[in-house]
Amino acid sequence: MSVWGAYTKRFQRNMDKVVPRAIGKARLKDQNMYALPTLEQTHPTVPKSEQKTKPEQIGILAGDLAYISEGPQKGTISRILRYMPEYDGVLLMDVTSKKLLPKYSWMENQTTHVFDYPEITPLSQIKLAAKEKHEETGEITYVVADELEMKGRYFDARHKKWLPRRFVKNHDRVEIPWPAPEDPVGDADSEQTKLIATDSETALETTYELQTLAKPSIPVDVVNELRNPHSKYKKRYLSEYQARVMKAPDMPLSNAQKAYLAKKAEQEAKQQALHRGRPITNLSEEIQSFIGEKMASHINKIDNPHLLEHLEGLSAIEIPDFAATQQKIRDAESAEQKPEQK
Amino acid sequence: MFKSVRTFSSASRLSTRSKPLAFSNLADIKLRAPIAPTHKNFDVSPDHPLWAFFEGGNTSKAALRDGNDITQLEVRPWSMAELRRKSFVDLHQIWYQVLKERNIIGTELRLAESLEYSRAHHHKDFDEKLALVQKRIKVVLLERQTAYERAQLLDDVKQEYLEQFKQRYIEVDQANEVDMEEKLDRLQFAVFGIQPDLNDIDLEHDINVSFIKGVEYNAELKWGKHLQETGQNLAPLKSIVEQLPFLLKDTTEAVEEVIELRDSEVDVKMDKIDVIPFLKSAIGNFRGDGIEEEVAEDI
Repeated sequence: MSVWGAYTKRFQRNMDKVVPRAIGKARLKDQNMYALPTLEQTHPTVPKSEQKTKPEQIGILAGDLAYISEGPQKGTISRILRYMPEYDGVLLMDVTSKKLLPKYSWMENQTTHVFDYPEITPLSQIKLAAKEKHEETGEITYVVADELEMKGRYFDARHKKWLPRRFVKNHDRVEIPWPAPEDPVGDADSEQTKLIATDSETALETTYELQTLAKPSIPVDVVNELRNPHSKYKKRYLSEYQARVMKAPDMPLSNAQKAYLAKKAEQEAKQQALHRGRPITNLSEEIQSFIGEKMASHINKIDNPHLLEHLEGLSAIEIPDFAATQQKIRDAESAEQKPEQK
Repeated sequence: MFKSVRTFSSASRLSTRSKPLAFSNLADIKLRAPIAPTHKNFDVSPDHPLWAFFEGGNTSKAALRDGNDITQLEVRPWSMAELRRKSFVDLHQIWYQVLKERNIIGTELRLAESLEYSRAHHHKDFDEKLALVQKRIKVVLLERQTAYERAQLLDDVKQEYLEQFKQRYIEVDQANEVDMEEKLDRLQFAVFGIQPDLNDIDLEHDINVSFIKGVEYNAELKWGKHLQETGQNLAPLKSIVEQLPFLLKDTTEAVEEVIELRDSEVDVKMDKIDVIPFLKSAIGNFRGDGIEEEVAEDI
């Protein structure tokens, strides 16, 4: 979803897409080409994705005191007028410079072209300061936080939002409370605001409640408008190209590999031929008598007449595989005898 | 390739006058004040749909608001928490309200571009707030859809809960019976999508596999409880024909109907493919959907 303002031109580079840091000074020079004298911009802009918007990211709010740690004003403590996310800097009450304003932009009661205009001080050049008044002597001292630490969160009724508690780093007992909010710029009671805004009762009214898991909460046709039904990540089959990309190609074999494989195949063929030609022969007399003795000794141990009867029955059953094997043995024997007869 | 001599086309030569233009009866011609070419001489219908592209509609005084006027609007985007409370219809309405507002801003920005208006960044900032609302609406809707899809995978959990509920339903004491019936109604809608009121059932879309399972579960519960109370030893319900009366009628009436059915020895077996048409016609007949139409046709 694009923002209407960010329209693009067909034959012109969209400068919003270029990271300001990348063009840096060149862009500043471009911007200052038409700027009035003394009103040139000196600070490069921060890309929108890197701009800080939340108080806990920035660490300060308008209304805080700041200690200036660098530059000609070093050592001054001043009130912060405004934080400017696009420059990552602040406007301070005491850091101003004389600018020459053309008559059409004069303020009310202004009588001269020279005007004290607030200068941007980068956030890196200031430290948060806090004022402390001694309970008995009434002496005012300042605390300057080298680094800040955010801990926990509480609902700030003045800002109407949840804020973290702000401490001086490594000093858990030194909390610097957030300043009171400034007066809002907009007018909540104006006719225009009332026309465009929804009143709080309507906004907070609950009209949706999940009552069933059996039906979708939104119409079926809406789903395809929210998700891309033609997404390539949702396809269940691969195109020919994708399949080819995913399959590794067959590597060609070297001559040594080919020779090795051929030799191995030859050996296997030999082995198989040998195995295939080997005749099944009858057991030797010795083995037969050994097995017969073993079985006789087992059967002689059996006292139970029922089991004996059962075994008798079993031995009477003809097993087809056994019969086939016996036949094979007989064939092999007769084949051996025939050449002898010749 | 190119014609070296340019000539008029034959059509243009034919349409030229053969005689010079001459006025007759000059005395009759009255001179009127000239009509100035200005937009004020055009009447535009107050209902014209393009008025929606201007702030203030057909009472608009200017096509481009002052940038400072926009900063005077004390507004913020709808938060996710607020949007999550809103029904689909409400979200749809908010979306189109926002879109209308964005169209106005778009018109103004286009105008500001051609006029090289310097305070148009206020318009852009405001438009970003509106675009954020639209993004959030999309996210809220997708959250609901994702939650629904994940719930479809919770079969084991559902089955376990249904078993527990069955135990509680059968063993409930008389004092809490009405409470339990209400709970069953809610459970039927929550798990199987069966509307508590028969008249709310959409015969075209609501009757599906889940609905059939619901009818089965409902009948099993009530039949089980009846057997428990009376101590009878009857066979479990066989098919949808025996199960449906428990959805349409009271338990006592339904039990009577089942016993009557069994006595009459009608074959209640039904193929799966016939179940949905049977349910549609049976529920429709019970509600008397077709009757009014028939009467109207007779008249």
